[in-house]
Amino acid sequence: MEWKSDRRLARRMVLALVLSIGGYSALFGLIVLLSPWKVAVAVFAVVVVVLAILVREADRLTYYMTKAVAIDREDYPALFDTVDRLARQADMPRPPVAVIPSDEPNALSAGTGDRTVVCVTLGLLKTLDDDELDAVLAHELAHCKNGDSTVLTVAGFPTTVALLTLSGSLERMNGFALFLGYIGLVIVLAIVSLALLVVSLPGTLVLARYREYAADRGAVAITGKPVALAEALATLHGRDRRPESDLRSIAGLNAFCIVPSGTGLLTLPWTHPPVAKRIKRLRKVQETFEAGSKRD
Amino acid sequence: MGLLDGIRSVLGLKAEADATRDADPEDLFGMSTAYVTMEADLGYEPAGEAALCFSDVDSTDFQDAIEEVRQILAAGEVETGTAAEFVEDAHGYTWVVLEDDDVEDLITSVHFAADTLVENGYGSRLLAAVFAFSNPDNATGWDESDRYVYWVYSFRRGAYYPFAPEPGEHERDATAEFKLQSVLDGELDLEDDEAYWYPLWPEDEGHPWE
Repeated sequence: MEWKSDRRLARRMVLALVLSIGGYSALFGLIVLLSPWKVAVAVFAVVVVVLAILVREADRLTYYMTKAVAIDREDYPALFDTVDRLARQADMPRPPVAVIPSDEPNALSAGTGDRTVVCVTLGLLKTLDDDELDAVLAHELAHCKNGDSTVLTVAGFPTTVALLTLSGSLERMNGFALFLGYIGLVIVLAIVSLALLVVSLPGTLVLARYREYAADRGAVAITGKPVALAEALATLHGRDRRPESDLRSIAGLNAFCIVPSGTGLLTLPWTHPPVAKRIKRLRKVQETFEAGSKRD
Repeated sequence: MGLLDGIRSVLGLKAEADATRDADPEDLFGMSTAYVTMEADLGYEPAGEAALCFSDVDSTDFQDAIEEVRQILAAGEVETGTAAEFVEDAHGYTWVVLEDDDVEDLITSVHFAADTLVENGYGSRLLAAVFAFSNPDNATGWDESDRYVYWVYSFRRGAYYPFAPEPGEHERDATAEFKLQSVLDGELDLEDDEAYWYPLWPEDEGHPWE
């Protein structure tokens, strides 16, 4: 078997990263444009500090937001051993594992370095069979290895700022603001943040989607079973769950669930490619697996 | 993390690249002198068993490669008397279990099997080669169950690490592992990062592949 790396995906990843830089230039352009340079430098420093905290504490944030509970081997021996095996194949130390007490089947990973935690919901453990669970966990390990938590937190930051500012200013557009006379400021803020959103959102979304494709490929490289991942995705997707994402939750920060979450767990809509497309790509990988036997 | 690793990570290619990186069987042969030291310095005797562990690939081509391994080992059995058996464990991993009192023959057979998979392009599926040794504590007679220590060769890392399971519960004998590590350091290529000392728990009593 020759493992074929997907050059097209790599090229698109570069493109998506460049697009994300566009979001940053817009953000910093705005800051420089709107404030004297001393303030701009201060804002810049604050941004760096906030980013560093978000990146470093992503795992704590996840524990807090999802009510995940870190587990030991005694709690879930099978799950624990499975992660052990997969991590060994992926050539990484076993990451911390946590369980989210929710019936909605999903998995996610967050954090940086060896503090990247892999979380699964109780629903996931109930819904998937062994091979499918392997595939989903491998997908999360691939996210860990690719540093997706960090990459998306950093790349998605302008989008997050735009979303927070936009929703904040829309909320304050009321009679109270009119009465106190700061309505003008609120309107300007809303327009500016909308513009920032328009510039930064495409990069974030495209990048998030490509990270998903890359993690799918990584998962298959770890488990050797494209079909199992395809089936897991189909199983998880088949359950109709309407997204009711609240944009004001820390949206855009952590977009690495295995499938978009319906309970607004840390996700922005549209960050995941359509499941049908992901399954189609997995089928192509299976095809190259079988092509090996024809060649001989 | 090197620069290349950093770039791979940013591009989201690291998981894929690491998981498909070819096996590193080079330092496997360190065992051919290490087992002498094990016996001479520590009193651990070779248990006459070794095993190669790999994970499946969902493809016909892979099954062909396994068949080739089977044939090569069968041919080897005629020559060296090394018995080979294929076992699948509860986690879905396949083990080639080799039995021979001659450690040299065991190492050669493990290497042959591993090499065949590498040549067929499945080196990245190789997980570990495991060499079993009888624990000298056995001789005291206070413990009925067989106790073994293992040298595990990680093909992903290209290095050995010790694994000394306590019988029964999933606990490791840290003292034994430390002893093994200190005495064999230099003779075997050892895994420095203990975070990679993955256990291979036996199902109950006996070897991890049983």
